Amino acid sequence: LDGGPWKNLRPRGTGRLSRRDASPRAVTVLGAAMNDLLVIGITIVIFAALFLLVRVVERLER
Amino acid sequence: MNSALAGVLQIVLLVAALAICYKPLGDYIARIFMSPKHLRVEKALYKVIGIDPEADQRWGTYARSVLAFSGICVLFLYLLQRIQEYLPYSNGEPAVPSFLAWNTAASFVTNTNWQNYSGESTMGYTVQMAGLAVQNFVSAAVGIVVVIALIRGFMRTRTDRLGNFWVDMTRVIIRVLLPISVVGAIILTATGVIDNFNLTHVISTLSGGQQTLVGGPVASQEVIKELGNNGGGFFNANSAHPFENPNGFSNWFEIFLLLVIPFSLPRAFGKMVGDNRQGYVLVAVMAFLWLAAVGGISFFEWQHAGTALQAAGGAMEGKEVRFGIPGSSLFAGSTTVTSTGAVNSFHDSFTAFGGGIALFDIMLGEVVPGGVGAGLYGMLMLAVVTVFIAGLMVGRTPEYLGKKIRPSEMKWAALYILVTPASALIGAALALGFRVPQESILNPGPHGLTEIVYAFTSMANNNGSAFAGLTTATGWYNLAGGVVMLVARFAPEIFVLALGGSLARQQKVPASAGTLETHKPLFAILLVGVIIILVGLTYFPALALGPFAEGLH
Repeated sequence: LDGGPWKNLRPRGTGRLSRRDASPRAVTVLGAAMNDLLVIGITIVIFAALFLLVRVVERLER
Repeated sequence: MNSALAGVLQIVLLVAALAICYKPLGDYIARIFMSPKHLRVEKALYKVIGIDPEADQRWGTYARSVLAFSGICVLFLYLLQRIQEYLPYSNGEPAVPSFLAWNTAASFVTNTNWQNYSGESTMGYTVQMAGLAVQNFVSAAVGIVVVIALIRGFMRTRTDRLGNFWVDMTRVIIRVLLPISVVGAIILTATGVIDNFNLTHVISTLSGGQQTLVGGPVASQEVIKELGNNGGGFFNANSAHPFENPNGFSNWFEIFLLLVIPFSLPRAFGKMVGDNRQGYVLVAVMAFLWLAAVGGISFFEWQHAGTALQAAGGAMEGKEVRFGIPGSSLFAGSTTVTSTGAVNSFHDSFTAFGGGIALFDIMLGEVVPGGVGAGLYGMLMLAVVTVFIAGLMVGRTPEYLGKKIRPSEMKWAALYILVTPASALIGAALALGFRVPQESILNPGPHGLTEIVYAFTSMANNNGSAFAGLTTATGWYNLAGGVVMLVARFAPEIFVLALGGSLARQQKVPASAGTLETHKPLFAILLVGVIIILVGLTYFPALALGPFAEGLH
């Protein structure tokens, strides 16, 4: 995991996989999966905003 | 040979080589984009990807193609790094951590090549070749095709079509980048740059210790790293590593590679708009500012203040002895005025003003000559602003190449100019404003501020060189840097294409007595003034508190 401010984020609904109960491997895999989802989400949001910007500019020039 | 004389000789030879290539390469690039003919291999590719090569796109469709292609590239490169451990030739490297993989994906897709990792200990050969090197080609190609679309805006009249993104991409990769890269890689191999699939070797040194040497397909990636103004090193030490840049000639040749396309594109521009003199003016402005940057860095690095510097004959800390001050200053000046970002010396160790000039070069917006394509479209946006300001001074409607610069055109030019510094300065401000990113600052005072400002300016301008001294391999910097790189690369390109579309719709107006002659030295002087004043107004506080404060202390 990368660390940083998000390193201790735990997804909702995963109470059964608390750090105390789950194996270190399971916690790592889950954390990595959440980080994957986070960065894929950020990518989608940024490119959606850029597509929206194209549409806004097209509107403005009419 | 005297060190200063060697430095001057390197620059003279470089200018001569670039001047020789200016016309043939520029004309060749122009012909590629003006020819209606497709090569067989290109036709086959169009069939495979299912596009009609004769279908020209409106600027909005062109922009969406750029975004869709780049977005998919980010996700693909991210995936490749995340599954690295299952790939062949991964050299036993595990999957790249998610935030780092995303930062790297954003970095290589945007032509920035900011690296928060050490290449030899993080990336296997498959990711280096099938992921990073591929992006070195396609991200460079995206920059070139965007400027070609803008040039078509100047060329065409009463149309809303700027060309076909997929055709332009295919042509620039197959006809420009690949052929030059093959020849360049062979030359680099001849100079001693390695290219193999060897894994690590442990050797015994003369002093009796042991050293681990890493192999790899370096020359084939080094060439596009420089030619495409990417800058991401195969090794952590980048072009300071002897396997990437073994001697004085390889150093000179790498500098030539990173400058040759950006300096030839103004010729292609002149050829495409039917007036070669327009290209000469732009290339003169680019060359003047580039030589000023190289001269300035060399001057400050040769200053002998202090006992250690007097003994070494200059500020040799952080520089390779085999390149010396001239080879390091020429490389630093060239890599920061283009969007390359490769380094053969440690910019953090430069004198305060030498490092300040490297930072100022990036702040110029990568226009002298700038990144491949990105440099020329940046320069053309600034030329539009210059024409507008000159028009205001004499009270006439500004025109550039027979196209009127109206409020709508100025809107896109102004937004283009604002996006990049805004991204850089907001990123730097956030890094200084929060505790977590502050913990990465290793140097206190003005030098620490310069490191932060340099990092975000480099990322926002898609340069990728690091001042170093700042620990950016953290979750915060990986995410913030990725966002800055993506926004500052693609938002300006949208405004460039919008301007191209707006110009293409216009009818050309004939030149009159009141038209500003944009092929004359007066325009070149005005353009230089506008570039420097814009940078000064935008970044002066950051420069004053950083390198100026440190240098004058």
